[in-house]
Amino acid sequence: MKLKKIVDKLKLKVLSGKEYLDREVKGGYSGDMLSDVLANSKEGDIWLTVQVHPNIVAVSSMKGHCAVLITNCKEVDKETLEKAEEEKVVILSTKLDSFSCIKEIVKLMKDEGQS
Amino acid sequence: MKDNLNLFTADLHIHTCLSPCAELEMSPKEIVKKIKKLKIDIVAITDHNSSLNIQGVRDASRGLDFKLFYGMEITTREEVHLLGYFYTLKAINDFQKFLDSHLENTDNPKIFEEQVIANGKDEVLGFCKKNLYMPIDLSIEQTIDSIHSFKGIAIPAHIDRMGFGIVGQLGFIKETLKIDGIECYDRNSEIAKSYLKRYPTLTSSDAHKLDDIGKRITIFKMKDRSFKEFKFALRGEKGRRILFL
Ligand SMILES: [Zn+2]
Ligand SMILES: [Zn+2]
Repeated sequence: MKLKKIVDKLKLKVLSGKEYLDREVKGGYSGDMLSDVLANSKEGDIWLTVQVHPNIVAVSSMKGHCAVLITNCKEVDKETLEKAEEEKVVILSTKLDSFSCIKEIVKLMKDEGQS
Repeated sequence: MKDNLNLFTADLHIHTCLSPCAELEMSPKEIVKKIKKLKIDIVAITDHNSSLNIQGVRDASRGLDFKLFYGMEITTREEVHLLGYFYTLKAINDFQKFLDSHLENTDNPKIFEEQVIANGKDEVLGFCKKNLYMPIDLSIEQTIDSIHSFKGIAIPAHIDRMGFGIVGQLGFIKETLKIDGIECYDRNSEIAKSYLKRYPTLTSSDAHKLDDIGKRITIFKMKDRSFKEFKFALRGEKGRRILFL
């Protein structure tokens, strides 16, 4: 499934990497401890987190995620977004919490599988 | 002329009964009694997001032969524990005023112990109503800058502990982070070993109960027990330094 589909369905804000929404979503990971995400997430994942620190860009770029989705999002550091543009990391945001997002994403993935 | 340098033992991470996760027995008088028994040269009180019990410990330690540093363990927005140490009681109290505007007014939930404010005679002065365990609304960078603007020292706590340690929360320590050192539980842990060479490294007890005080210490080689010398030792200036055992 393309990233764009999730962005449209969940009405996510695209904060960086607008030109990379045709990336393929291979899976997903949810976590707020970056050490855990480094250890356990996979390439092509959409990563859901509440962290907004610039280190999320480094972690996501290192792991080759298709995007970072910041949930319960109020505001993201400017530095984080600048770095994200440099590193070609897609940063998405939503006011929804991670669990609500995951439910929707899984639904989309199932639909995709059947069609 | 060369300065005469001496060795000093220090435990720079001790909680009092004000911290919601610390035992009630961590009262100013009891803490002071324990430090006296262990003959530690320098100690710092570091409650979560608060300096309210430092005055009590200072009063209880009057006339005793150890040096008290004024500290605090701040929980940043990323839920990283960051130690701040300050020159004077006034500096830390000013910093506290600043911090209070960044700590939300959420009631202390029942699952935690009461947050007891005590004086030097171990009398209860009151209870802190704010939940001191909550993070402030500033990033770790903003918090470090604020500590520095009050002429304090900023040191990420227990970097080798997963919960609330900087490496656990943020994956790694950025080279550009303006910290003055790091604190670790175990100098032989994998995480500690990978940062030891880059930063001056403290080991302290992070005591939440009396028995833990002094269980881990740092040894400083410096002229005297002043805060100024502590700063020199962190920077490795004028022969002052942290000794490794
Ligand atoms: Zn801590
Ligand atoms: Zn602590």
